[in-house]
Amino acid sequence: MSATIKRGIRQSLSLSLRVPLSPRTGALVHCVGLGAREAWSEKLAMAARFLTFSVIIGTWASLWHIVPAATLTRVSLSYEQLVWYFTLTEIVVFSLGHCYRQIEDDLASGALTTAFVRPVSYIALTLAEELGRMIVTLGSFTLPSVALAWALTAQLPFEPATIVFLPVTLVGGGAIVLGVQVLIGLSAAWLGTARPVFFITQKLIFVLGGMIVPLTAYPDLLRKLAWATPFPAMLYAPASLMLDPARGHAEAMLALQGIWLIAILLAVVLLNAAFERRVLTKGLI
Amino acid sequence: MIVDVKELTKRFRRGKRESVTAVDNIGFTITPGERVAFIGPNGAGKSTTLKMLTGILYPSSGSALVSGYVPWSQRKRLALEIGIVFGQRSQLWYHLKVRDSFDVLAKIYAIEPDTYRARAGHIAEVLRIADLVDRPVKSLSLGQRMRCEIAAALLHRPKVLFLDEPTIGLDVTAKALLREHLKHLAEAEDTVIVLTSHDTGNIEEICHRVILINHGRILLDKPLGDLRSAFLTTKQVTLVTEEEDPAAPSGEGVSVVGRARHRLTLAVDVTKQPVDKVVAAALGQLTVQDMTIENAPLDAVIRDLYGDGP
Repeated sequence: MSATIKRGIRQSLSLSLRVPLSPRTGALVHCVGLGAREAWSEKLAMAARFLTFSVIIGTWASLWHIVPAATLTRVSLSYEQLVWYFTLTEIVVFSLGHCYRQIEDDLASGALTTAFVRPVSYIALTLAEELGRMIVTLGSFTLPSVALAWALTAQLPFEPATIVFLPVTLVGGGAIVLGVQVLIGLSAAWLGTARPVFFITQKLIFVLGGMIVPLTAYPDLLRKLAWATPFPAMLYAPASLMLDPARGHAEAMLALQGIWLIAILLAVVLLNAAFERRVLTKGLI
Repeated sequence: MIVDVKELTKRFRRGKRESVTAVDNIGFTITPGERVAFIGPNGAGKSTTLKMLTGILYPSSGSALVSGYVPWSQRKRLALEIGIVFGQRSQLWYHLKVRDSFDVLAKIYAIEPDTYRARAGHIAEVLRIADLVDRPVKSLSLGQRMRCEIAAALLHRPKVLFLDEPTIGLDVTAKALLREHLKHLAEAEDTVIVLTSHDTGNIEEICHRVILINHGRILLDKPLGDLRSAFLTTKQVTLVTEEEDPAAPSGEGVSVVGRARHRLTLAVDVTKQPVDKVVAAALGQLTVQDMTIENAPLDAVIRDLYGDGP
C-alpha cells in the first residue's frame, strides 16, 4: 500500500520532467505532486482521521444492526448495503480538507499579494495542490475503509464490470466538493468571512447529498429537491454503486458527476474573475 | 525606459459618497540599472504606488508601463519580468523546505531545469543560504527567511525588483548583510530596484535616487547626492580635547548637541556660519586631540522634508 502510494507520488512529481508539458500545466502538475507529498507527510493526522472514521462507521453499523431487517426491506435496503453505502460517502467526506479556509486566510493575511504577482493563477495552483492532497488521502483511506466495511458485513458487493468506476467516482465526488469549497472561499471577498457559507453548504451536502441514508430512501419531495442540486453527485454518486452494481447505473452516475464538475468549474472561473476584479479594484490585499 | 508612469491616480471609496485619494496624479520614469527609493511617511501612498506598478491594484486613472507591460491588465505576463519582496508577506511555502518552495517557483516561472539549478546555486552562494535550503521555512529566523525571500524573487532573473520594507524587523547585522547582498546582485545583473523603506540605511546603501511622496503626491525626485547637498544645512563637529570640560566656541548658528568628559559635539548651521570658521575658533581656544566633521544623518533630512509637505 505505502509503496504504491509513494510510487504514485514520485511519478506525479516527475511527470512534468518526463512529459513535455506547457509551463502552466507543468506548474499545476507540480502543485498536484506537492499537495500529495504534503498529505503523505501528515501520516499521524491521517491515522487519527481514520480512527475517527472507524468509530463513526462502527457506531452507525451497530445502530443499523438493531433495526429489524423487515423495516429496511420496506425501503429496499439491507444492513450490508447501508454499511457499504455510508462507508463510501464518508471516504469522500473525510478525504477533504478545508481549502475555503486557506483562501479566506490568504485574503485576510495579505498572502495573496505575493500569489497574485505570479504568472499562473492563484486559484488554479490552490486547486491543484488541494487535488493532490485529496487524491492521496482518498487513496490511503479507501483500502482500510473497504477492509473495515468487509469486516462489518462479511460481504464484498463489487461487480468486476463496475469496480473500475468506484475510484473514478470517488475522485469525481471529491473534486466537486473541492470546487464548491473554492467557490465558498472566494465568497470571502464579499462577505468578509466564508465560514457561515461553509457551515450551511456542509449541512446541505450531508442532507441533500445522502450522506447517511441513500436518496432512494428519501421522501419524494426531498429526493426531487436533492436531484436539482450538485450534492448527490458528491456523495450519492460513488456510494450508490454499492446499491446498484449495474454498469448502466455506474455510467449514469459518472455522467452526472461530469456535468456538475463542468458546471462547478465554470462557476469557479467566473467567480474567480469577479474575485480578482474586486480584490484588485478595492485593494483588499 | 523600464518604468514609465504618467498621471497615475488611485482613489478608494469610503462609504457611498466619500473617497480618499491615496495616489494623486503622479508621474516619473526609471531607466535600466537605476535603484530608486520611494520614501514617505505612513499612508503617503508608497505601497499603493508599488501595488499598481506590480499589477495587483487597478488605478482610478493614469497610465503606467513596466518593462513594456501595463501592470494591471497584463499582470501575469509582467510577473515574468518582475520580482517582489514584501517584508511582512512571504512568498515561500511556510511548511515546506526552502528548496521545495524554489522548485515550485521554478515550475511556475517555467525556468529550464539546467538554468534553474545553475541560477539557484549562484544565488544561494551570493546570499549565503546554501545551508538553509534544506530547512523548512518555518524553522528559519527572520533574517534567514528574508535572504531566502530575496533569492526566491530573483530566481527567474527579473528585470525589476520591487522591495517593500525588506529589512523590517531585522537586527543590525542581518540588515547590513541583506543590503550588501542586494546591492551586489543588483549591480552584477543590472537589475532595477524600486524600494520603499522607512530605514534610511537601506536607502543610503542600496539606492542612488530618492522619490519622496506624501499625501499621494511626489514632493521631490532627486539623486541621493543632490538631496544631501540641497537639504543638508547642518554639519556635526565632534571635538576630543585635553580639557576635561571644554567650552564651546560661540557664534551664530552654532549649538551644543552633546557634551561629555574631554568631548564636545556641535551642530553648525552652514547657512549662517561656515564650518571652517567654527573649527578655527575651536582650535584657537581648545587643545584639540581629535576632530570629526559629519553630515547630519539622512534621517534628519527626511524628517525635515516630511515636515515641509503640504
